[in-house]
Amino acid sequence: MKLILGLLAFSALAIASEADVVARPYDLWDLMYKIWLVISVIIYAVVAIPSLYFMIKYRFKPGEREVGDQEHEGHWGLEALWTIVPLIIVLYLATHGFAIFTQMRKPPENAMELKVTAFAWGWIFQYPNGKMVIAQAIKDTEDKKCKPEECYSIDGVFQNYVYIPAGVPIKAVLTSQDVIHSFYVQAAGVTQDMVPGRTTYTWFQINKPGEYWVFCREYCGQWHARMFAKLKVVPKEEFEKWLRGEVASLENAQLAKNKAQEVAR
Amino acid sequence: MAHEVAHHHHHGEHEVSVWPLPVGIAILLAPVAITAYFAWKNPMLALILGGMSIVLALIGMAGWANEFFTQGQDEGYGNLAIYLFIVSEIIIFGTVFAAFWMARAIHSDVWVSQWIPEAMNLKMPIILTLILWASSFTIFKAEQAMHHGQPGKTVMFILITMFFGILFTVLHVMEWIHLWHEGFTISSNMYGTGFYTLTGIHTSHVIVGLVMQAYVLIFTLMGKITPQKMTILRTTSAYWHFVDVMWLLVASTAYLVGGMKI
Amino acid sequence: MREALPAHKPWFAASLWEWIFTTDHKKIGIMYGVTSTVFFIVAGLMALGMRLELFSPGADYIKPETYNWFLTVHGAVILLWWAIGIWAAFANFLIPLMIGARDVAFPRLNALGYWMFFAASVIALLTFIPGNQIMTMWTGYPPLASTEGIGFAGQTALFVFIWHLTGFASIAGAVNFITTVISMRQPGLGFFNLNLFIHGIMAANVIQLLGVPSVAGAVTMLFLDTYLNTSFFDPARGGDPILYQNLFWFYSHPAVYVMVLPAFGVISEVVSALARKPIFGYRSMVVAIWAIALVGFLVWTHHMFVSGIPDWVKILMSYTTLLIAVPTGIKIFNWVATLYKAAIQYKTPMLYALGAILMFLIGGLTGIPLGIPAFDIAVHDSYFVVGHFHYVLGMAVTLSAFAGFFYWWPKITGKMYSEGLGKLSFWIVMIGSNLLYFAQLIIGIWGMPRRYYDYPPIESWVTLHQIQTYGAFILAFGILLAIVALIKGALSGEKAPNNPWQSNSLEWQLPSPPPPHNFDEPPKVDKDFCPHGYCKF
Ligand code: HEM
Ligand SMILES: [Cu+2]
Ligand SMILES: [Cu+2]
Repeated sequence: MKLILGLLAFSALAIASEADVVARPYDLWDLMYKIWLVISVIIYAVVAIPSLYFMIKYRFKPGEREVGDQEHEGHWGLEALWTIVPLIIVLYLATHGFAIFTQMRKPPENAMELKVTAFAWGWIFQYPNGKMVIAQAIKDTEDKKCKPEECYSIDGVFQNYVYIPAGVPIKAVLTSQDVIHSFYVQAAGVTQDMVPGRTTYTWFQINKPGEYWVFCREYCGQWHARMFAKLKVVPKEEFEKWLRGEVASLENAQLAKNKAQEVAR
Repeated sequence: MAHEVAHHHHHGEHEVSVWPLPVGIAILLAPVAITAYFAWKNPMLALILGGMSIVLALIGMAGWANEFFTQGQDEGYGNLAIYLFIVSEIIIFGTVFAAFWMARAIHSDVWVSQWIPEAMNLKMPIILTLILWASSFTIFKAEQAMHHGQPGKTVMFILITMFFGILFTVLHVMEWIHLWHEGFTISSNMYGTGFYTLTGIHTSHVIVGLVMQAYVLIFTLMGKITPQKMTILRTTSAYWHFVDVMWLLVASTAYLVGGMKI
Repeated sequence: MREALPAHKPWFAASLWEWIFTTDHKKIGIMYGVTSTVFFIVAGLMALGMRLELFSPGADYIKPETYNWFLTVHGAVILLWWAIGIWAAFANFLIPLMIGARDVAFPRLNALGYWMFFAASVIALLTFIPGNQIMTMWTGYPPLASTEGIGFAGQTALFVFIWHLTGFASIAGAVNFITTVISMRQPGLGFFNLNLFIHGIMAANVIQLLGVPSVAGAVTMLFLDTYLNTSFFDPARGGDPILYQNLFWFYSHPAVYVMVLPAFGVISEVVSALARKPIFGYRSMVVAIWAIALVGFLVWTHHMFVSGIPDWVKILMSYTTLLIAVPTGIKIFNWVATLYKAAIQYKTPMLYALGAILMFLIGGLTGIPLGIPAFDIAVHDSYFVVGHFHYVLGMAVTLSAFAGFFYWWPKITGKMYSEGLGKLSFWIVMIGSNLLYFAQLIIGIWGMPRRYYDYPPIESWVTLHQIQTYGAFILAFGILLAIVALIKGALSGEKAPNNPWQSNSLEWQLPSPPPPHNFDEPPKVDKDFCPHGYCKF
């Protein structure tokens, strides 16, 4: 049990170190996470410590302790106690969660809209000015398997960077062309399914420039595991330059070709 | 379906019945046949397996029923069991109702303007409703007759009930063919899908009811169903009433809610 | 009690012919048990295959289609055959014995139920034929599963029929067991002095009766959409893929209580017998079981928090979901209170039962945040979920099933299992499972998505995947030992006394093993009969 508690503490630390990036609404999630973690560790201790104590103290001892206390069959006071206290705890958790969730779901007014359309297996990102970026799964073929570093790398052909301005809230408007996919921005801690025939949304904001993962989180068939994208978060000015096409790379040229290949298959 | 009473047996004797296994094999072969037809695209195999399934099911169920009437005791547990089963059935219907009503509510504009076929009208459902109502009454009479120890009358009323059931099925199939030819098919849109699925599931229940009635008929003729041993007649009748009541919901959804232009 | 009649043949002494055509609940129970356990092992081997592939990033041994097939079979089989199916084994063997009946209400229907379960097993085996693999995942969401050619979901028909056949078997079983307990109890056995195991099984069967038809409807629509081009899940023709999820989870959330309520029943029986003390708070235990079963039908959208349903539905079902923690908590606290002033005998079944309680607590505590949308939004469909349900199913339910095996083994086989091996198996299973499943929780918090055949070579992820794989093999070894301990006992164990745990419950008043016809005379039950485990005599 110590081991488990130790691991639990360890996982909390691990999270803290990965949370250096200030991303939204990850900050809200992190708050929810910490509340839950503290409450859970306390509840675990409240149950496990007496259990272990009783398990050791009330062992069967021949001649000394051969039967348990037969009169100890229940106690309305105690049973009411462990009905009401947990009830209060869960009501608190649900209500606080409710409050946090309402905040989490509301995209800031000034958010930039990014249209994302999923297909098996990849994403088309469309910026407000119509510029598009495509990120496609890197598949293995019969004769060639990608090496671990290659399978999740940006090769400019199948995979292109999705440029995102630092510090700017992004409202991602999501849909799918074929099956259900899901849009998970790891740093921001948001997941939202992409359902054919519907549009859904989520929003996020990443403040620190760098590269961040996006994964597909709804099972979508053969290459689900390779359905990822990389966000390249850059300062706002740089992003605007890129958006106007000055830093533009192969994306646009390749887009039509990749998609055509995909459809032909 | 009986419960062999243990205390009459010699100790150490084992209870066996050969009939569940063939019925179980029939139940296995049916989905394999369907898979053969739709997924393996092998109609020949489907036909063979499907045929075997039906033959095994009929033999198995006949043997089962015969064994039940010759050895079993009738404790009347079936009365509770059939109601439990009906609860389950209601929920199966509920899933299709949910699909139908959701689409009707969400897409009411296209539904009304584009999906309702010209040929849809209330004449047929009213006839069908009257037929089923009459059959609910006749099966009730059959049950009552047995209760009063008049098996001859029971046979007559079951025959009438079965006639109504078959008439219902035949008219319904004609109605489907008619609508289908007008271009209203199961894949047209959610109205087509909901309409044929709801009425189709319902008709499949009518057929199950008819099979049950056929068994009751045969065993009444053989003199094995008696006022003391008539749980199976009661359950058959309860199931038939359920099928009738369900028809009201099915018809009002499929024809009224679905076909009204508002 | 019945030693005076040595002439009894044990219940299992019968010819092969008699076994195949049997309608005896004890034999049918064992047939369920053997089938479930064999499939448990198959599903476990497939999981080991998955763990080998995930040991390091990159495509190592198997193709993604193979991984996805392994995962689909692992999930579907372990849920339907093991976590649900194994309780059909216990229910069959024990219900008539615990209520003092000769058999269930419909013995032939019971046999047919088993053969339907067996038919489902044959269908599951058909998916091993090349070209017939199912890659839908056990959930089979459309449009992936209902569209041939996109995404390679495999043979949807077989997926559908696995659900149908196990479902028919479940409904037949539910009708049978509910009728049996309602109509065939010994006089004197009422709602508040039935075994807690019976309450668990009854609640589970009520859920089956109300829930299975919902999933049966959903997969039927899946079939029609796939092969007859209906429009249930096609948005272009007025259908909706989310409808499937609603119908599916309307059953499949309550289904987790079909798996766990009988496990709670076993824990209660074992803990009270081996703590040599009446269960604490029997009445609140009963009420809690039924409350869980009821509220369990009102929480299903917590599986759809990111599907695009309205936010207010998420909040509503967040409250109902968290409410279930209350009756669940009552059970845990009552078990702990049962240990107070007890005389705990650390026999193998007791170890497994206590382990199940402490592991279930982790499963429950990790389930709470999944019911809070603000938390779930970051871990939905991640390994955190995988870790959570493995604590609940892979540990609490599985440990309880093994607790049940060890506890009733003397009754079933008439022989004692091997105590040393049994205890050893427990500790190995605990170590392996916790390495495996705790690593799943952590990597899930870090973001690792679920149902991934490959993953990016992020260093910390690789380490945790390796820990999982080591844990998985340790766990598998532990399970192997447990099975050896049981089989060795059955073959060469000591002869078991009639009532080795000195339990009050009716099944222990029979000889070990019981005779074919159960009770010579219907057992007499007083009004203040105390059935659960150990009570004052
Ligand atoms: C040898 C022991 C086991 C190992 C190594 C193991 C491992 C795994 C792995 C690797 C996954 C896939 C995770 C993913 O890719 O998303 C998985 C999924 C799953 N496991 Fe296990 N597991 C074991 C035992 C169990 C048991 C005992 C149960 C239940 C009683 C269980 C229930 C499930 C379920 C329901 C899934 C989800 C399937 C799906 O996502 O469709 N597992 N397991
Ligand atoms: Cu995807
Ligand atoms: Cu759930």
